Formats: sequence, structure tokens, C-alpha cells
Amino acid sequence: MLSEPELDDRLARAKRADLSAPEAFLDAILAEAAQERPSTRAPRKAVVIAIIGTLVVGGATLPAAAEEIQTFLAQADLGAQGGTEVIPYSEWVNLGAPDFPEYLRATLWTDATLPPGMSHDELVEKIIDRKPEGGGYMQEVVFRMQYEVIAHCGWMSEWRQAMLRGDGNAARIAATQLQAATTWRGLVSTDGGGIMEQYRGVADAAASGDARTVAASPRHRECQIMGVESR
Amino acid sequence: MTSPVTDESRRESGASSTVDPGDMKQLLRDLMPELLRYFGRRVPNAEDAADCLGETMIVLWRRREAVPLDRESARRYAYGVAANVLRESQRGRARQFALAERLVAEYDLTRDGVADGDTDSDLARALSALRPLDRELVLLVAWEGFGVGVAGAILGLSDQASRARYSRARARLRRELASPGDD
Repeated sequence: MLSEPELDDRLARAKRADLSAPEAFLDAILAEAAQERPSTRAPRKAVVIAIIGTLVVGGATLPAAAEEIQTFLAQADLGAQGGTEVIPYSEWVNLGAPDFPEYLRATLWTDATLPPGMSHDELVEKIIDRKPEGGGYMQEVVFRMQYEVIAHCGWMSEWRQAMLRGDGNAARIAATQLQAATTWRGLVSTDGGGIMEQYRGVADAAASGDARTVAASPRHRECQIMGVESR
Repeated sequence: MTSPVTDESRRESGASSTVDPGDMKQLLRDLMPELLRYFGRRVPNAEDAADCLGETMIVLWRRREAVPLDRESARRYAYGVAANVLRESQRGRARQFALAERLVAEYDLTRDGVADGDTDSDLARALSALRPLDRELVLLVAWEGFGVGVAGAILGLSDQASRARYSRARARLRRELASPGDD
């Protein structure tokens, strides 16, 4: 097995030669970038405080998917790759602010509904917990995207479990939510291309009862990696 | 609605809502060479590097009221923006910075040094096997010289998650690069 110093050495040797440019080139880029342009910023929408809570479907007994979700929520890392996505019209939030947790609890809004066993408060707390220790800034849409990615995984799991136990009503409810997910704005606005096609593929397959296609979807694999989808 | 986070904490972190445009330009000018190097190591050609650099400069300029005044915090913030611009670029979006190709044609962008790094196809294959976030974490440390915690913060990861991911990624790289028969 390669030693740690040997790995460092190979990484260093693989580094490409530095790209450099004359001052005039950099000045031209800066001059263009620093032009004042008409603002494209939309009026800030009123913040909707979404208190979704736990959505209970199909009686008091939590389905197996709920246990998976609880297991997932107990994990330290959500696995969502939020970062500081540059999305128009989304406020930048300082993660180092002392009131950041209160801010997110009070203002995180989303189009997503949650499947049985998944609670809004728990999900928000996990999103708060995974913020970088060193602070920095992140756009608020990233929090919504993280929330909606996980909610979608939950509904996929709920649909698969309902299909396995032959619960047509629960499967239909889950399929309806998977269809609704294709319009959740946190997901749609952060789609750099091709992502929502995957979500629509899952929704169409679920609506037609095609478990094989749902299981073969990239989304299913992502959810497995995150630990939210049944294996 | 005014966000207490975005207002108060900007002040705490050294950011200001009244950043002098001249100071901001100087900050961007200082950061541009290293950001060009950052993109140059990760995209296939000079046009794409110039496009990513231009897009990053636009974002930073437009968000200048959010950029911390503290030099190191501003640098970290700029790399966070750059990482996202790079991700968008790798998703195959159309070129955003209209001047990129013309500027590259007009000015000579060079690669410093005699040659690029070794063509280590095994390492490239091993790196490609990592999740994109983990790969970038490893490369921010190896190529840009950031500490693991700072590199993770740039990518939006907690300190704990950064260290765990970094260790796992390196272990996987070492496994992938192990010769047949190695344990």
C-alpha cells in the first residue's frame, strides 16, 4: 500500500503548471466584471415560516421507511453537497452569526412535504448542525435544497416500502409527492442541468408502478449513499 | 424582512455594507492570479479558465457588501465562490463570461514552468473514483495549500465532516493506487 508521503508526492507531481496572464488581461477581466449593471435582483419575497411538522399518513404505525429515516437522521453528515451555490435572488447567510440557528429555525421555508417518520424540526436541526465550523457564507436556497433532497429521498423510500407491502393507497400518496417534488423550488433553482430530469424520471416511474426503474435511478443510488433509501 | 444574520454578522466578520469600490477592486486584483491558477489546474483550456475567473469576479463584485474585509476571510470567501463557479462549469453550462475567448485570443496566457505535472493516469483514475466533493477537498489541500478545515469550510463542510471525508478519501486513494498484491 502506498504510504502517506508517497501519496503526497504523487499528488504534488500531478499538479499542472500554473496558468498566468499579463496584467492587462487581468485588468480587462476586472474592468468588465466591475461594471455596474442594472440590478436583476427581484424584490425580496416575504419569508414564509413553514411549520410542517410530522406528516402522518396511513395510521399510527410508522412504516419501515420511518426507521430508516430515523437512522439516517442519527448520522452526523447529511451528505448533501450544498456549499455556497451561486443562485440569483437568494440571500447570503453568515454561518458564523450567533443567531444563525434561530434564524434558520424561524425562516427556513420549503415547498416540500415530509413523509411519515420525518420531522421538520429534526431536519432543520441536522442542517444547522452540519454548517461549517469556520463560518463563511451560504445562500439560503442551499438550505432549502438540502431539505428537499432529503425529503425526496424519504418519499422514494416510502413509495418503495408501500409497494413492497402492497399498500396501494400509501404508494399513490408517495407517488403524488414525488411528482410534486419536481416543482420544489429549492431543487429547481439549484439545478445546473439534468438534475430535475432525474426527479421527473422517478416521478413518472412511481406513477406507473415501475419499481425497477425507480430502483435503477441515479436518485435511488444517491439516497442509498445518504442512507435514506431502502437497500 | 431584514435578516439579523446577514447584517450583524457581516459586521462581526469584518464585512461592510459600504466597501469602498477602490478597495474592492484592489482585493479582487490581488486574488485574481491565484484564482486563475486554481481554475487553470482544473479546467481543460485557458478559455474555460478565463470564463470561470470572469464569472467569479462578477459574483464577487456584485456581492461585495458580503465579502469580509479581513484578508484571509475574503480569500476563503472568494474560493467558495470559485468552487461553485467551477462546479457549474463542470456541469456543462454555457460560457457565461462573454469576453473570455476574445481576451484569451488577445493576450498570451502561459503556463509557468517547463511542463505540466506528470501524466499519472493511475492517480487520475483514482481521483475520478472519489466523490466530487471529496476530490476537491483533497486537491484544495494538495494543490492550493489550504488546511483541511479551511478547505472543508470553502466547500461548505463542517470541520468534523471535512476531516472524516479527507481521511476516507486519502485512504481510498491509497487503496486504489496499491499495486496488485499489496495489502
